[in-house]
Formats: sequence, structure tokens, C-alpha cells
Amino acid sequence: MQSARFNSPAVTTWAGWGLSTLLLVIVFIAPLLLVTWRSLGDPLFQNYVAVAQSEAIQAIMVRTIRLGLIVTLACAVLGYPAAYALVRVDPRWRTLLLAAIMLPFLSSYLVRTYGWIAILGNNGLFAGIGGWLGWSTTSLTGTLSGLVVAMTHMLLPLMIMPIFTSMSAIDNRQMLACQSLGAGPAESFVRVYFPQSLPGLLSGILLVFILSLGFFITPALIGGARETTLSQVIYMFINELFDWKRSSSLAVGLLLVIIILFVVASRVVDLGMMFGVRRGTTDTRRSGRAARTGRLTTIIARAAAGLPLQHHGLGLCRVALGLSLVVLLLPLVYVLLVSFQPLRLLALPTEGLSLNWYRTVLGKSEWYDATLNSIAVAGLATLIAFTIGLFLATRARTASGILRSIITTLALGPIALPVIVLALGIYAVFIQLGWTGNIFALAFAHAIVALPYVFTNMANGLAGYDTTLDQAASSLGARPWTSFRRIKVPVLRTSIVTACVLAFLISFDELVITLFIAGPALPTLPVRMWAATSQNISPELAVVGTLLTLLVLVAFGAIRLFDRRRRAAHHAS
Amino acid sequence: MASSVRQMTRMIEEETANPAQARRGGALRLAGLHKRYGATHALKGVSLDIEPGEFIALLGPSGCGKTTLLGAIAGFVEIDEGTIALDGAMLTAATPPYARNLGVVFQQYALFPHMSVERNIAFPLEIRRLPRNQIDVQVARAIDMVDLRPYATRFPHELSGGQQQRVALARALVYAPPVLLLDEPLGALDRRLRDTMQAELKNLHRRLGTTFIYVTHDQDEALAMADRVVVMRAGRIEQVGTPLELYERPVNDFVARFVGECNVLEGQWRQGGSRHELVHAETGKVLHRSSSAPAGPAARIALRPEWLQVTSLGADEPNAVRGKIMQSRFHGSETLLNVTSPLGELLVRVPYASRFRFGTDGADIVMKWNEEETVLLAD
Repeated sequence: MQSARFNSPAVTTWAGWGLSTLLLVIVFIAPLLLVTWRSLGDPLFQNYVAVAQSEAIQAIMVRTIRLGLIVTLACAVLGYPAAYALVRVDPRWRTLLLAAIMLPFLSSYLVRTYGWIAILGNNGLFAGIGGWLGWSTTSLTGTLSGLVVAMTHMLLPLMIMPIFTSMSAIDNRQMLACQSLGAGPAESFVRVYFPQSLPGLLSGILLVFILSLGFFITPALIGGARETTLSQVIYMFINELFDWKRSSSLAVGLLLVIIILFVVASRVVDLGMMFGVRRGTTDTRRSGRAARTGRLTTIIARAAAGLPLQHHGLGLCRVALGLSLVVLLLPLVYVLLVSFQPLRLLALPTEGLSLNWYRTVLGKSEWYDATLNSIAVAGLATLIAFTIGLFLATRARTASGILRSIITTLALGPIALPVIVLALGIYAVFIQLGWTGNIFALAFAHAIVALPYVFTNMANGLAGYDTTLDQAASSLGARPWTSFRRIKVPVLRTSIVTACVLAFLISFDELVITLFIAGPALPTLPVRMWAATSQNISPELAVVGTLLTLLVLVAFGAIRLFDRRRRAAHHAS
Repeated sequence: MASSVRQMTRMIEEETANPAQARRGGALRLAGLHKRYGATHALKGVSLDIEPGEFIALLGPSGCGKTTLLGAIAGFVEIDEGTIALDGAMLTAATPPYARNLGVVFQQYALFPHMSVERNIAFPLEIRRLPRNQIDVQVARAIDMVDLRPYATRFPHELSGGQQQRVALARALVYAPPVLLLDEPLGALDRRLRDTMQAELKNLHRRLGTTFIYVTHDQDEALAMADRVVVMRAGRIEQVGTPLELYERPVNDFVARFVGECNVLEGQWRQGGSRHELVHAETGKVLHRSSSAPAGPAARIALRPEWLQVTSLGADEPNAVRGKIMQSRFHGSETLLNVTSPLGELLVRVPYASRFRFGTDGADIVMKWNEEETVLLAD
């Protein structure tokens, strides 16, 4: 039947729009406007010109772009075959492997960066292997290669997922058809498979490149002085020099570059696919830009037809998948092991295991306080982000073209911004409002970072939701609120739980914005860890990191157990 | 299925023993309904009176407005003009779906996936705040009514299409609504199951006395189940009547072709003694004979395939014609013949008993009709 005219009570609508506008304006739009304002001088673009003419800055810009390109290449080379192997894996294993790929996202960003510091360091894995092989044993921190490895780890899942989704939609039997028609594996791949996987590949490439431009934490901790990126310069200008003009002009410049890149990208790929937002209830995605093959494809195909090893293609891809898993999981494993190191070294415990550092950490009250602060802020932020994200996702579904684009852009915007730019802006706004050091303000700021994830999850959940269920409930006598509570929420439970958990973890892990606006009275766990880094690097941080990851895993396990009990109870009743 | 009929017979006896419990369906009056979706005019002044306890079928091709009409009655579609009255009370935009107390069975059933069969059926009763023990009793009766006792604790994804269908029915009927709206409920089922469900639905209707409004595009279904059929096209009602009326006396070309197979032939009026004869121009065969004065110089008639009798003689009679069989399709109880003749391409239905009266493809046959019984079509 025709779409239901379900008018929720006016109060809900007004409250929803009011709260959404409040959030979006205060911690998203206003910060951007304020930063832009600060960047303008007299004459208007004087700061931009000054910054662009600085040779040091130019060098750093070139380095940032170079880093981005290398990381993107690394992710593509590793991620594409890995995704291919993933699609062809036994379905029973696939869920597990997908969970393993997404697992790093669940654990703290800082923790993983520490893991890499340990692995790349003087006493780390590479040094150890190098020494064993007779090569140099210097630390890889502060080098381009070290940084590339660490950033590849951070961004690899974002390359794998769109490619995986794109490949999942390709019918396996097409390759069989190719071979029955006489084409070998390599030629079939070039002519038929690759063009169809291209949208996913392009999505991944663009997303990884754009995000790598704005990276802050990893280059700051691992890149060191030699591999400075633009984000660090922006931070340095404010944090050490209090130079708003240069800082904000750089920030706005970076922002503009990224916006332009996204606009260009939207001509080539479906931005919705890039961020994982589904349209409609069908799983197969049509990007609207059909893959075309032409003379170039034919030339490459003919060349590829003679390639050696082409029948071992799947084997090679499996190797890539294995390597990807190693890259993704190594830091977590390493952190766990390092936490048992008895000495004050960031190295694997070769002299036996010890719980020294655990005792040290559990004895310090500052870690407990920081954890409690983080939990409180994350709880508040989740509440705010979920309410607004759900509201906007619902409205985006029923809205017309222009309004829908506006809502989606605003809801997803924060994810595309370099976090340093957003942090700078929010800092500027909060100073004006006198909100620094306030727990509710901090939660508000965290909510905007979590919002895109909530929005995406709820939008996808709603896309898969059968709206005739609402009609059925209404025809049976249920008022809108009852119908929402008893039908929509339970059916969408998975999306809701995922959205809330993600929001919580993101807020819990948030560092950059918190660094700017949380005063010394309100240290969250990441801030404490960051401070500890500048003071010393010891297994103490590895212990904190391990405990954190453990906490998250236990929480997840508890949720799944609880979930299973509820299902069983339902069946029994 | 046999046990289901036995159970239902038992329940009918129970019910008739206590007539006070017998339910009465609601009466619906639809007047001048209009609905526009942008440029599309989905309902163009639809008016219909539905008597209590009737089984009405809304029949028509896709886009004719039948689903929009159902949606308007249910409250999902807001009409632009016109009124809908249920037992005298107006159903306006101020009466949302949850206040109308109607039963709706959706095309894809719309069962709540997170609730068992029992919880699904109990849902409307819980909404109405009935006491728990009464809910349990009524839910149990509803489950037995559709013969799903062994599946009561199952979840929708564990049931077959036909079983889900029955849960949807039970859920929509458990609170005894005056009217039940059904939106092509049997569309997703296979042929055999559909036949069975048609019989069950008809039984249910007779037993409960609830008014049924049934949307379908399948004319076989409509003719088989309904007391009256409403044929719709492009937002308008073409004809309302009993299945027999629609079959024997379609008012126009569209209804004639949509309800059952039909041959449509054109002729010119001429005087034949005291009566008027409709004569086919090229062959001079008499298509129709009537006493009433014709409306214009020409007219068309509907000639159902089974009204053409296959004979071997008499090709020169005014009400007979010779033809050649182009294709024959054997359907067991009858055979369908596509025949070319001077009157044009004709579809002929020959019952099994007469199967020896014609040869194979390419053979000649003679077809005869009764010119008093052909149906004159208005345009």
C-alpha cells in the first residue's frame, strides 16, 4: 500500500530538529565558520598567501601528499587481493575474518600507535629481525617507511570494506562463463571482474587518500621531526605559538583541498558507497556509473593472458589476506606481550614474563580517575549522538532530494574533516562560550565525532526495515509511540546496539578535540596516555592499552551472551 | 486440510449454538473519492456502497487504483475529496489507522519478525488492554481457527508462506473487526496452495460474517470468492455486480475482456422483421438479435469462448461460421482452440465431452452460436 502518513507528535519533531540544529551549529558549522573568519586578515587572503609562500610549509605540504599517495598505494596493493580472497573464503570463516579486520577499530587508536612504536623501535620486531639477518638495527620510528606501515595499518580496513562490498555483488558464475568461452583466468579477470570491482576500489582509494591527508596522531607519534605532516604544523602553530592566523589559514586550506577532492570523487564514485550508506533494500549496489571497458582493457587483457602464475591467483590473494591480517592484528598482540615486559623497555619479554607494570598501573589512582571521566563523557556523548543520529537518519529517508542531501552531508561531514581542523574550530567556539573544561560541553563535542557512525548504522538499518510493519501495527490499533517502542526498536535492535557501541568507543577513544578543550581538571584516558607519552615511553602504557582492549572485549562478550540469553528466553516463552 | 474443515465445522456448531456471539460485518459507504499523486489522478470520483457481511472483490489491472482505494479505507492514504463512512460514522483524516478498528492483511503479511505466532496474534489485544487470561483464550481460538496450533511458539521466519498467511489472517481477525481488508494476500503462494486458501477464506467469511474487501488482479480469484465484484480501471469503477452478472452481462469492452476470455465482434444494425439484427459486415452473419432499439448504426458484442458450439454441419446458417484451427491447447477438462475465420480470430472452448468433434491443428471446424445470448457492449 502507499506510504503511510505517519506523523509523529509535533513535540518530537520540534525537539528533534532543535537538538540537531543545536549540535550541528555549535560543534560543526560554527567552528568551521569561526576558523575561516580567523584565517582572514587584512588584505583578505593575506594569511593564505603568507603561508603558501613559506618554503618550509611548501615542503611539508609536499611531504604530506607524498605520504598520502604512498599509504594509499600500499593499502590498495594489499587490500585488493585481500578482499578478493575474503570473498572466496568459506562463509563460516568469513564472519570471523571480517570481525578480525574490524577489530582494530574497536581498540584504542593510541594503543595501536604505541604498539607500532614498540614494533618499529630500537628494541622492536624489525630491529630484531634486522639484527638477526645482519642488517642495521636502527629504529624505524621517525622514518617514512615506519610511518607508512603504521598508517597502512590504520587505513587498511577502510580500503578492504568498499572493495569487499563491491566484489560481493559480482556473480561468481560470470568467471565460469568466461572460462567456458575460452578466456584464461588472467584475461577473465581483466576484462570482466576488474571493471566491476572498480567502483569499490576507487571508493577505497579516495577515502584512504583523503583521510590520510588529515592524519594527526600517528604521524605525530611515529613520524617525529623528519616526517612532519600538515596537521602537526597546524597543532604546533596553536599549541606552541598561539598563532591563530597561520594555524587557521592552514586548516582552512587543508579543508578546501579535501572538499575539492570529495567533489571530484563524487563524480567518479558513489559517495554513499564510500561511507557504507545503503540505499533501498537491495544489497547489490548500482553506482549509476556502469563499468566500461575499451581499447585499454583489451590491450591489458591480451598482455595479461600470457602471465605466469595466473592459475595461482587465489593463492597469491590468500597470502595478501594473511599479510593484511598480520598488519592489522600485530600491534594488538605486541602490546599484549610488551605489557608483560619486566624491564623499562618497549620490547618483547625475552627474559620471562612479569606483572610489575600491571601492579604499577593498578596502583596509580590517576588511571582510575581518567577512566571514569572517559566513561562518563562517552556515556553522555552516546546518548546525544544516538538521539540525534536516529532522528536525522529517519528524516533523511523521507525527505526530498535537496533536504536529504543537506542532512546527509551535515551528518557525515565530521567524518571527512581532518580532526585537527574540527578541533581547532571547536576550541575557538568553546573559548567564546566559556565552555572549556566542562564535561557536558566535552560530551557535546564528542557527539559530533560519533554522529556519522550512528547516522550510517541507523540509515542502513532503516533502509533494510520493512515499513509495512509500521502500517500493520497501526492497523492493529497501536499509536505511533507504542508502535515505535514495540515494533521498530526491537526489529532494529542490532543496528541500534552497533550504533551505540561504536559511538561509545569513538568518544572513549577521542584524543585531539579533548586535548584542546578539556582542562587539566578533566583528563580523559586518551589524554592521560598522550601526556604519559611525552614524559616517558614504558610498558606502563602497554599495560593500560591491554587492559583497555580487554575491557572492550569483555563488554562485547557480555553483550553477545546477554543477547543469546534473551533469544533463548523468547523462544521458550 | 480435512482436519481443518472438520475443526471449522465443529466451531460453526459451537457458534450457532450461541447465536448471541454471532458477529455482524460493518457497512461501508464510499462517496466521490478523489486522490491525486502529483500529476497522477489515482482515484477519479469513486463511489461504492458495501453491505454488512459482503465479500467484495476489487478487481483491476496494475495502476487501476484498487490498492489506493484499500489504503484510503484503511487510513494509510489521505484522500483529497469525498467521504468514507463505516456504519454511519465518518472516517476522516482525523481518524488515523489505529483508531479505525479495521483488520488488514498485507501482501507480504507484515508479521512482526521478533515475535512468535502467539505474540503476533496477541498484539492487537494487548494494545486494547484486555486482561491477560482473556487474551490467552482469544489467541488460542484464533490459532485454532486457522489451524496453526502446532506452530504457536514458532517465529515467522520459521514458517512457510502459507502458514505466515494464516498467521496474518488470525492476527487481523482476533479482535473481531467489522471489516477485513485484504491486499492481494495470495499473490506469493503457488497455485495449489492458492486454491486451498481461497476455499478457506470463503469458509472463514461465511462463518464469521465479517465484511471482506479483497483486492486482486486475478479475475479467477475474484469470480471464485466474491459476492460482488468491483471492476476498476484508471481510477474509475467500470462495473459492479455479482460474478455471474459480470460474466454474462459485461457493460463494455474492457470488462468483457478482463473478466474471463472473450471474443469481441463488430456489426451493423439492420431491421429483421419485427426485431433488430446486428449483422457482421463482411460475412452477413447475425451476431445479435434484440427487440429494443439500437443506440447507433453499429455496435459490438461479446461472445464467450464456451458459447461457441463446435459442430460439423450448418456452416451456411446465419449464426454459424466455418474456420481453421491454428492452435489447440489441451487443459484436461476442456480444450482451447485458436481459430481463424471470416469473422476474425476466435477463441473457442470445447468441453472434454465434445473432444471428438474437431480434428488437429490445420483442420476445418464449424462454430455455432445463439444470437439471442451474445452480450451487447456499450463503449
